[in-house]
Amino acid sequence: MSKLKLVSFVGLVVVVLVTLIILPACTKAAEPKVVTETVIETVVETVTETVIETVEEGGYAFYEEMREYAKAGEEYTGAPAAGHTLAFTNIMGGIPFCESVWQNIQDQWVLAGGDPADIFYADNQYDATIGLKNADIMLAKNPDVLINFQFDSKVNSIISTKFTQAGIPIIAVDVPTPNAPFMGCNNFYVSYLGGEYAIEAVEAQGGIDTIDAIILIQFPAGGDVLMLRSEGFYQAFVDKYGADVIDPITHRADGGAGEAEQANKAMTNILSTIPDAENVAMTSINEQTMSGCIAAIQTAGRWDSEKWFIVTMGCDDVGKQQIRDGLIDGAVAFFPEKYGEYLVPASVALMNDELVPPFLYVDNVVINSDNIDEWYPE
Amino acid sequence: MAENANAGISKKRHFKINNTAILFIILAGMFIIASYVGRPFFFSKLNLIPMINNLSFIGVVAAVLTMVMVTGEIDFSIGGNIGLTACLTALLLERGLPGWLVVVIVLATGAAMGAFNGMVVTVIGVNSMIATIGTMFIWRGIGYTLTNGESILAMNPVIDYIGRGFVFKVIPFPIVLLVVVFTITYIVMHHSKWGRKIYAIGSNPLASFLSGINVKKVKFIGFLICGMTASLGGLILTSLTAVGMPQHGQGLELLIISSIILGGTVLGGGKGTILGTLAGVFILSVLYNFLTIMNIYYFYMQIVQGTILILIVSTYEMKQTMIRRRT
Repeated sequence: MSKLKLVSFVGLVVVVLVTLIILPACTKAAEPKVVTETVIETVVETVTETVIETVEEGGYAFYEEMREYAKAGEEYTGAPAAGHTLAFTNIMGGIPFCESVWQNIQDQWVLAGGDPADIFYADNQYDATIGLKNADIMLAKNPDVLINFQFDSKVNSIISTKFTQAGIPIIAVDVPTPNAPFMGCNNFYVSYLGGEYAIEAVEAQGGIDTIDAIILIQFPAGGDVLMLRSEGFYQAFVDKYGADVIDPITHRADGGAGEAEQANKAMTNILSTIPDAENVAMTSINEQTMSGCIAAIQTAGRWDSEKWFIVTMGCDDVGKQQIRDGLIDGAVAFFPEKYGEYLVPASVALMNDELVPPFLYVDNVVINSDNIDEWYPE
Repeated sequence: MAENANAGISKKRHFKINNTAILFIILAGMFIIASYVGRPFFFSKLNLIPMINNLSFIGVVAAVLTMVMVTGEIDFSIGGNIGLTACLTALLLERGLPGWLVVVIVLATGAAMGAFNGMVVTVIGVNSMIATIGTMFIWRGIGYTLTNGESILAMNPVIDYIGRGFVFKVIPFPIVLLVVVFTITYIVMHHSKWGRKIYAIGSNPLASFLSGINVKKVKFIGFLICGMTASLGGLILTSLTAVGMPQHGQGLELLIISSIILGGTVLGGGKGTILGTLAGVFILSVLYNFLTIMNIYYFYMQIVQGTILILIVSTYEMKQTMIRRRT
């Protein structure tokens, strides 16, 4: 038996070594962005046709009218949501961003004359399997409209198929869903906007030559769309200074979905690879991850707010505090507390067989210490 | 003496049946309450069939994992196995392999993963909890490495059929798979020599060994089949979502093990029934479905789920204590 144990142990070691050698060669051949681009192209093609038809037919007057009520925070004339049902599957309950979206939808629903009991809610828990399960449950409840906030665009195609078959329209939030109007942020654009803002700060400091590193705290497991939320930042720098200057100083790390702990570890690892870097431009997918990163920089004794140019995405409650505390230079606001102002008018329009624009983009703004009180008075 | 022993066994059997019966009564009660309170949505074809469809991949894995747990071992790597299976399926389809061949390769890989677990546990002697927590990370890590953490579309007529096909255009195929797997495991566990060996090993491995049972072989085969079934679960999940992603099955191991424990299987081995596991899987699924229909927040669901698990398992323990006192 001891010989067998020895042979098994040696065998295990060999298997592990062979796996480590073979794995890099087996990594996914296809470029993930190709799929994203295909999905986006398909959506764009579909919606372009719709837009042309709609413009010919007279635009989105009903939706625009509802939007005006929503923006003003007034009751919608004629209570257009009365007697209708709305389903909302949230990407991940408990996260400040998602809670703000949900709260605003409920507020707007009431303003639109809807009964709070007629909104069906489910938490997708950032899990595609649960997202699908929730979609099935919502389908059984037969709502008039589904607002789908689910992280994987490819799984959304299955959800879309099921709801299309049932004749229930969908509105996609932040992640595209085939055959559905898209509401939310253009992840690449907001990230690019953040990059441009960081470049302004870098230029004021003395230009790119003074920058030792550019750090992108990403979440690859979140899918292609979420990757764009940091890659736009990088692209802004490349467009300004060229890839030959930017690529050698760019560092990417997986900071997780929003756990400060994982981001902290990722940042600690990066810091050890750039021991001499002092002037750094950095972004992350949200403010929770940035909290972990800043803690890691401070723990390493390398924090200097004058030398770290940080722009985050979202500007949730954590982000607002970070701006006020001088920890970050700016945050591209997604205004989750205004999402309902787009989603409910769009839902109400669909419920009343009216047309909805194919893309409902939030007007993003870079919030900094100079304008934070204007947008978010204390 | 022999009569006393037989009486003991008879009592124990009677007790097991009662536990399972109690579970089904609880399940029936939950169904009635959910149907009434959650009317008209819960008790509808539109809700119940997708619900069973969605629990099928959990059910097939839970059934076979029950066999492993009754031997006194555990397999935490099932979630990682599902994730890797999903990635492998999508990657192989992407490379143009025919669907049937992908199914064969993926199930064989699952069996290999199970065999690896079995070898580490039975030959090298590593505790199964530690070994399979280790392999859970390995399988998922390989999945992430192969896909760069991205999801990949997995569309193919054969794969589509596994999760979204219908038998005779009426019965969803995953439900058929669920019934088949539960029937086979039920027969093996409760009406075969192999099943008696499994219970004997779980009750007393040393006595089983001394009585001529090849303990390591039984455990090894249990792990192997468990790995293969987890891959079957991964195939169903990949088909249901039409996507292969390394995140598939994340956290599922705890849900599956909770269902099994809820069904009366003891972590130390020797006790547990397939019907109990079936009831456990259904109880947790019905609970999730009903609470979602009632618009209950996920945070509260977790509290309810945990409370029910503790309540039911405490009931088993209390009954066990009462029986010990009586005897």
